[in-house]
Amino acid sequence: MNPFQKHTMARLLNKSQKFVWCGISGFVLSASLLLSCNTSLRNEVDANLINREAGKLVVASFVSPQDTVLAARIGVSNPVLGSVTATNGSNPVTNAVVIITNGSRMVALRHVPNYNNLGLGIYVASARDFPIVAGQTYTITVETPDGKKVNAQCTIPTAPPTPEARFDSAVSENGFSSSNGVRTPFLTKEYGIRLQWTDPVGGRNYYRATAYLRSSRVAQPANSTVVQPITITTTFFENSGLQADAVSSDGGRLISRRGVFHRYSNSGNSFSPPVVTTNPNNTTTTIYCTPTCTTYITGPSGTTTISPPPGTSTNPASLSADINKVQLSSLFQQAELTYSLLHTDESYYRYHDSILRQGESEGNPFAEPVPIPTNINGGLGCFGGYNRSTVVVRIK
Amino acid sequence: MNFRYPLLLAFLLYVHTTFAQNSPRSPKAVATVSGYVREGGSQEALIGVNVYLPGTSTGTTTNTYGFYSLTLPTQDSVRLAYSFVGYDAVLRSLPFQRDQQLNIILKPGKTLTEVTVTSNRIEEKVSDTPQMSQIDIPVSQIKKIPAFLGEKDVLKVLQLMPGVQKGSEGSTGIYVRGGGPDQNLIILDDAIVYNANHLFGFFSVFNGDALKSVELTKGGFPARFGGRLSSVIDLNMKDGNREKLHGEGGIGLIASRLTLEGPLTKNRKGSFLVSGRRTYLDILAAPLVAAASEGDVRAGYYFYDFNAKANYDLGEKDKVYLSGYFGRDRFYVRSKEEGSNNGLFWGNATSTLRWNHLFSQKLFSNLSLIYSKYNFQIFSEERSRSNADDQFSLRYSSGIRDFSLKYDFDYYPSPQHSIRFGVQTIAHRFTPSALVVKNAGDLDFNRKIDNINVQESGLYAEDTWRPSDRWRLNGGLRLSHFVQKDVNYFRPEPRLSVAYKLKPDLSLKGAYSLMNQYVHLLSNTGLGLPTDLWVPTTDRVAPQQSEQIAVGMAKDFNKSGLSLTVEGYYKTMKNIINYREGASFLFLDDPLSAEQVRWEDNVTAGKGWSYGAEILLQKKAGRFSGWAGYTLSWTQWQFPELNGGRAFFPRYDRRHDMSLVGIYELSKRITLSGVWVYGTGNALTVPLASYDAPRHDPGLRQLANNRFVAGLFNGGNGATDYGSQRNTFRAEAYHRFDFGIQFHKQKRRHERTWEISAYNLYNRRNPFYYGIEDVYEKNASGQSRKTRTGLFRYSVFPIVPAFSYNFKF
Repeated sequence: MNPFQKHTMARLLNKSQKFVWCGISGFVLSASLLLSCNTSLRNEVDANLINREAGKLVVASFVSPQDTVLAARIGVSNPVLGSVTATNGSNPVTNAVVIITNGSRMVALRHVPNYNNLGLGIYVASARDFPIVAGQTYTITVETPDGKKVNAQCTIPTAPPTPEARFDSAVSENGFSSSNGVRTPFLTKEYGIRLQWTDPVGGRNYYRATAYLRSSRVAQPANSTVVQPITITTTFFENSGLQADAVSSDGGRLISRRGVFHRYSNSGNSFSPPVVTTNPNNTTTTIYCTPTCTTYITGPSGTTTISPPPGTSTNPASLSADINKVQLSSLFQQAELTYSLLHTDESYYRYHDSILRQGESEGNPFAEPVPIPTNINGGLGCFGGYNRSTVVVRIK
Repeated sequence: MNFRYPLLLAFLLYVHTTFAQNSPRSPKAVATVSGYVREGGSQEALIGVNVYLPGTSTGTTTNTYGFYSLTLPTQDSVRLAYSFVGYDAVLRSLPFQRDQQLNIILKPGKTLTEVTVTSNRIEEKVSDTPQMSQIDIPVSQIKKIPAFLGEKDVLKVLQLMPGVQKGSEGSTGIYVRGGGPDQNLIILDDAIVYNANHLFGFFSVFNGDALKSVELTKGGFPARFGGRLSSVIDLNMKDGNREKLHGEGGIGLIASRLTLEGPLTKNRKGSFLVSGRRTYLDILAAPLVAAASEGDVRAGYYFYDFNAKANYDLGEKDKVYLSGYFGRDRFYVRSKEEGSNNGLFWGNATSTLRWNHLFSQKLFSNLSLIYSKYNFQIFSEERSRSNADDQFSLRYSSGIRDFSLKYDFDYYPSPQHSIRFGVQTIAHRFTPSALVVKNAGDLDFNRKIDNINVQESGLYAEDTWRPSDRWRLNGGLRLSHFVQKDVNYFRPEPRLSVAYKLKPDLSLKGAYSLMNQYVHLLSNTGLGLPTDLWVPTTDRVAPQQSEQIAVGMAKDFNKSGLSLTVEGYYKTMKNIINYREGASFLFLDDPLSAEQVRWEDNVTAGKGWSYGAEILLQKKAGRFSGWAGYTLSWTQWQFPELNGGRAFFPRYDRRHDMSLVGIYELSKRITLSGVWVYGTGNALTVPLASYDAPRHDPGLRQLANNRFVAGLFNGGNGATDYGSQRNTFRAEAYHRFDFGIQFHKQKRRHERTWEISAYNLYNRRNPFYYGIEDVYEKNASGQSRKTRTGLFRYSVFPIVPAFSYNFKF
């Protein structure tokens, strides 16, 4: 199943789940209403029963030998109960003392407002003065003027093996339109990538695959008459790159999940928002869906819409025959693919994995709650270590 | 080397010597008396009747078909007593020189006069049997206990016993000694009932009018039972009255029921019973629903049960029984305006064909051919009236179907031994899920996980042995076997129960049992929803296994008819399964990879252990009857992939559980009854805080000035903090009092009973679930605005009065 089908499937399943739940609660509710004129079956309970973890420091910092900066993000948790102001809002901490040590040396991270457009609560230090070394254990301590103090440790994993990339492409039917009994299929051509590598023997290893494609081409944005070169960067594997070796597969060959880095569809549906791309002269252009057949460049972070390559038919019916002829290379003037494999520690892996799972199951009354583990003593969040190996491939 | 194999060897040796000792010696040295014990008036076979020589400990009990066999040394005459709780005892003197058959009729005793104890062994005694951890409740008693909405429910009465706990309010889910509702073997006339719930667990599928006996075993399992870890709930349907046509029925607030039974033929060789029940909330609510939606919506819910049984004596040695159960729940919503039609259906069907054959007076056999099926279906259809092409339909179904063959033998070589052995094989077919979606303009799905066929078998032998007046033993071995494609398990299950009599009415007991469970129930809620899914052991999901040790004492108080049991148990469970954190039943896809996953990927295995103490003081018959039960217990689970691998208390871990049940026959015409229950609150996981959990962003991040920088952090991940330990929040304690009063009157042709009852008489707001919700308040200008978030407790049932009219002819 491709991501689009998956999305539809999830929607349908979600619908049926809701239906079951509505049925059950509807019955229970109507039964209780019928049975009793006394409607005080809902009673407020003392909030102190559960507000214990509020006001904790939330620390996120991920360090590796390859990064040029050491960064941490510091915030505070909210109570789940209480006034609107108490329960809402991100609470960046801007006045903390953040120190990373390796036992013999230490470095202080200082707060930089809006560092890399990330808003408040980001603390940074240059890695030049404090290199991160594989196998070493580091400790982070965070202390705030109001007396909160937390710490955590992580050990940097060994360098991961250099991953190999395997590319594939597939055409699949992705729904259809129906008019007067004539069924017109929507076809999709997808370009996918999987990373593979050999797991080192011994212990459990945790990985994360990551990749991005930078391409440039000439395009005519809808609101402009000027044809100009644009650069598009698509990241993928964003959420699906986490992977751990199984006990049974220790030392074996591991293959990442499939990341879809390009999708070409003849469907006339525009199902995603326009994407901002950047022109060489540092002005930005918003590309909207072009009036005829369109190309979607889809990454989990969004979809880029570009007008069809020259010479392609604008008639969807005839395109369904043409889609096999679409070549990835014909869509770009230049493209460069960067993929890397992160060898992470366990805390890094479990923290990210559970955030995703919690997000997926939120609001599902049937799912078991997903706790997010933390290695921050006295706080929340994660201090994780990783080691990265990167490969850059020029596609065209 | 596993310690079980020497046990197996010892057992085989024992079986060999026992049979060898009892091979026919001199034909004149011993003689056998055998026969059936039946109820006067209806000819209904009675199960568990004591047949014994008064003043001695020599005796036996009738089996499930009312059969007994007693082999004694020949003598001039013997005096045999037949006694059964709630019935007048019968004494017979007979010459005892040769084999003979003796069928006995027991007449129901009068409950209003206390039973006069004529011998020191007139009643069935708990101190007399090696079996421990077993509960049986007379069906007549169940009918007198006040019930929710007046619907008498066998499973809910069992929940009032120590060691047996309910799940959530009003639910029939049963948790026995730390085991889950999936670990109960519920059998109705030999057929497994997979989902015993109606109405999302508020009622069970068993109609008390059609039942003859109910017995729950929670430890010290005899070898004849296997396949579940925690309990066996053995229900037997009535055979039907052989003398004349009788009826019984009732009209209640939500349901009515009717049972008819009578002779099948004029020669009284057979009888039949049919029993039905249906709720009518849907019919009553239909006008309201129609009025509320201006005739557009039809919505409703109902369930029905249908039981039928027939039996016939083919001769002295052969009897056949055919029994069946069929029940359905249906929930539907139809809207003309929206062109939608949605529904949920689920139900069980079972049928059992049995053949009793007497090979000799000492060897009784029963062959059963059993069919059982459970299925669940959701459907949802939408059809736009304006555009015929715009339509959507979804069908989801899951289920299980069994065919099984069971051959059991009861062998009574001497009063010291009663031996049972037999074999059972079940062919299961699982349909884990089949989903068909049709969606015009989008895409169609036809997703079906292949049916899984597995074979589960058991071979067993057990002996209830009385080596001396003081010792009672039940030892046995069950060899269980399971095969699914490449997976093959063969596991011996030793069982042993021992009782030692300190005094005539006081015995110490101990039991050990090992159980394997090859089928698993995936349940997210523990509510008893129809979506709970049965799945087999596979190459990736191992069978569950438990070991249990129980010790206790049993004391009978002859004068008052009271019995007291005190038991302690320790149970370990391996490979129990639970959903992974975040997984739920309908997600067939891994949310992270868009790749299809097997259901095994959604579950995770772990271990659990439970220990506790139980006290039960019970009085089964008499003017005042009932029981008091108390359980003190601890249950913990440990799963490598849950709660960070640390042990935690599962939801239904319950430190204290108490129940008091009393039935008092005030006069011939009035019966009073009351139930009070108390239980520690459920262990729940609740949000403790919320925060923004920054994720690492290892890719590039684009800035407005056309620079790409390392992403560093990906914010905006609103996360919930559930704390470092699962289920640390304890719901408030549960307690309630139910009260009922029955007015009986014998009319010329029938007996009628009016019943008025109240569930939760003092209107306690027991927690059903807790919700975190926003509170809105109106400001000065009358606008509703969110002011804060609060924790709310939801209760389901306040005081619920009920009345019903019951009749019997």
